Amino acid sequence: MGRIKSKKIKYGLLMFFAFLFSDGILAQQNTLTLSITDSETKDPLSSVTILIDPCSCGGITNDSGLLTKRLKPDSYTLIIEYLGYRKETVKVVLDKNKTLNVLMEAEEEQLSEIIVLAKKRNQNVESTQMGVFELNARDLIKIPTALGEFDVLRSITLLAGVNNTGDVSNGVSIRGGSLDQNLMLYESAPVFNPTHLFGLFSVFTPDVISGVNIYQANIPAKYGGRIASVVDVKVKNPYTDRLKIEGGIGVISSRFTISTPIIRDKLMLLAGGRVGFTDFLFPLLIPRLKNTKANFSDSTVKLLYLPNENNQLTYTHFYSKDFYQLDLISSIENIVSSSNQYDFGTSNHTLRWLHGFKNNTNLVGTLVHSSYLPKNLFPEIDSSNVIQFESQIQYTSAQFEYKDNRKDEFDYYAGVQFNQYNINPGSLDPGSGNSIIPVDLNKEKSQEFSFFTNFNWNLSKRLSVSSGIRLTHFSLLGPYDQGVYNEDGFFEGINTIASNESVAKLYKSRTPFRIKL
Amino acid sequence: MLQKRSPIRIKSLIIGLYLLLQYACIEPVPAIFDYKEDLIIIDAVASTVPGTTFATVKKTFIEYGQYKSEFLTGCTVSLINSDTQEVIPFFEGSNSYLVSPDFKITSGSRWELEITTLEGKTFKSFSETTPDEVRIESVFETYNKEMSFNEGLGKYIPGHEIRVDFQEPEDQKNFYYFQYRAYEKEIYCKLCNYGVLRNGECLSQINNPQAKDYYTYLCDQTCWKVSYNQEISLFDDAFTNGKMISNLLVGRVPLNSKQAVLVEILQLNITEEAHKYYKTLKDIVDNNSGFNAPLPSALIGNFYNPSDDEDPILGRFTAAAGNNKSLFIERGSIPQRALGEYKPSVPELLGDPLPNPITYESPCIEGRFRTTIKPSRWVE
Repeated sequence: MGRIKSKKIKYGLLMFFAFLFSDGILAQQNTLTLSITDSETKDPLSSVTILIDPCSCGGITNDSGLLTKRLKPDSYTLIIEYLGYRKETVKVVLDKNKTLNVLMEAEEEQLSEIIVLAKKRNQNVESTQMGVFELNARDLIKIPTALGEFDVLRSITLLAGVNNTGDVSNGVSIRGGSLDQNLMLYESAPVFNPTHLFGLFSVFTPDVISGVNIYQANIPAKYGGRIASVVDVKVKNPYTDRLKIEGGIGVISSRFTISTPIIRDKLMLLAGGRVGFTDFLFPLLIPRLKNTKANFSDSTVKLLYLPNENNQLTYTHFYSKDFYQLDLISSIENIVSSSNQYDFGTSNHTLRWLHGFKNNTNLVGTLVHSSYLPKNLFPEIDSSNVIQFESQIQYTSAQFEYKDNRKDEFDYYAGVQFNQYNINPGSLDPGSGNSIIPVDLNKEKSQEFSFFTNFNWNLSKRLSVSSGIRLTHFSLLGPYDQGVYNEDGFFEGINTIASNESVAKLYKSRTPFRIKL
Repeated sequence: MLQKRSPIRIKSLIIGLYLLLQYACIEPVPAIFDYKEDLIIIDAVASTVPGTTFATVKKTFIEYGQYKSEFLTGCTVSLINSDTQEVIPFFEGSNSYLVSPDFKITSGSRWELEITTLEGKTFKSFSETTPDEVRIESVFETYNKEMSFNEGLGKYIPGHEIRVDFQEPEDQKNFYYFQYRAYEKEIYCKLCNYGVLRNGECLSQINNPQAKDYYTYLCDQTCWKVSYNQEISLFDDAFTNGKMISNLLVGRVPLNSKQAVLVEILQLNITEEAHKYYKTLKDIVDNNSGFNAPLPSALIGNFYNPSDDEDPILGRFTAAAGNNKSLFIERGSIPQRALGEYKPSVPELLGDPLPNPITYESPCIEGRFRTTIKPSRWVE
């Protein structure tokens, strides 16, 4: 019994002191009550985040927009944040219980259009589009490549049906086709020489690529011109509200990318470039490459203009340059020079106008000019003169395409395309020297007009139809020199046809009318 | 019973065929080189320069799995003037058939070659007209310590680059084929490894522990070693018709020794067909590697067997108009190391335990690769 009494007394004393102590603490704190409301509507704002310094504490408001805290008397800084509202910073001296009313101003920000794309899990089974691979920039970066250089052509060789035709090959072989049977498009402009460094790297500026579509079969009607595949490389759109600069120095190349708004929400710029100037390392690695020079560069500049919500205008310029000299290859004969040098250049321009109609249809107009200029240079011995052989392909295209996606079960597109090819087969320029006879082969010119249309029709859950057709009218314009050969196959002379720039040869064709179920 | 078995057999056959097809599709096919044995290869040139007309006749064979060819001795070789039917007989030299050193053909004349082997097979060439001659105006050399890359050694080798200047005639198409002959003094006319020279042959001394590893034998008279270009050097006036051709690289003489060398450049004007043949040969032999190696194409010569059209024969007879210029190059002061291996003199000595008679010298046998005739521009 005595023990029980003693325990009760101890418990009583403990409660007494605890009560006294807690009362002391309460006596040193003041209450801060915050009431947060919208400055315009005066509605209380719930879930507003409040940070209090220097106590390193805080909290969020309740449904009535209130937050109550008990704090020691002191000077406090309150940081009040809420999504869609301007951040507020309030200083308060808490020398007594206080209630603060804070009005928060809404912060309006105009965002660019956001397109959310999603695919059904079994779309590859349901879609009538077959033989197409889509790789976006994230996929491409994940694929390991040589010396850390992310590369489109090297990456797609990991896809089924795509092979490189050797370590030093100028492109890829798709489904057994040869290199020139692939239509390589970079922002809709054809690229006639898609590789740097004797085929080791592709020319596409890696940091600005948004994705690549490879059509191996059932090539859509809007593409024409090649039989094996279409490799359509797309450049990122510079939707940005702030300046962003990236760069890096690598063993093979160094690169730099900038994206910035020029006029906020109206005009934006994306520019990326890459240079490879590390050929001085070659002889250190392989003595055989002592006399080898190999420099390359490429750049992509894209401007995006948004005049209003229904129109979008983009301009893209792509430039690629290669220069090399090496004695691993056979010299060009019959021209006396100290070395053989090779200079390849590509300059492409793409202007695209996208007009969206309110009824979920749109019109896309694309103007393209593509120029490929390969040169062979022959520096003369003991002279500053350089003999030059150059050829050129110039491609100009205008395309208009109307798309109708109003109905879920039926969509189609139709368009026209006009292409003009100006080809310079070759000209040999002796420069200031007198050791070579100038040669200027006749230039060739041709025009191509195409109409194309394609529709997709989902007849039921189990049956879909896709069909397309492309009609092409190709004219080879004169004058054109046609070689004449005798029955034994020996050259007899040249016959010039269509000397007055009239049509030398006409071709009309249509791609097979395709129906896919 | 038969009716029951047939479907099983058919199924087995189909499965077997299917598996065979699958096997054939995935099995890599090893490269098969159809190396023909007993194939006759003829290389012959008749030229307007005395001492440059020759013919070699070789026969292919396989020895211990190695593809080889050997000089075919005992052939009757005749150069025939297609217009006059004049016959110029060849004599057999060391690894080649030669005519008199004074013999030369003239531009515009037509010639053909006839060869009869010991077995009695006769091969004839098509008739070829000798083109006009274009004279070399000057020849000069530049020493390059990194003249060319030697794949075998894995490094750049030093040597002299030989260049020529000449005026290209405007009135005709011309095709050029350049050769050089490099003369160096021959020190040893014979070297016997693990043996000694007796009756013109190296007699093995491998079982004689007191014999030296090798013995050297001086030439019995002044003797020159003759070497030839290893690369095929061609030129076509397609871009240069009527122009002055300067600094045309026509030969590369590697620094095989520090001895003086006399380089005799032979500029041959050949026919378009001959140029096509040598260009194909150059593509196959010299241009067969690298990024832009041309596709291999058939090497079509101009020999045939008149009694058997199907008898395969490779090679070409070329009638060429030539002229030559010489260049004497002193190489003693070149700092770079020579490529050839120099073997110190090891003569037989009196008292050596070797079979008699003791021998010090070996004859300098006249041929394409060795001569006792002093080159006209040789400087002592």
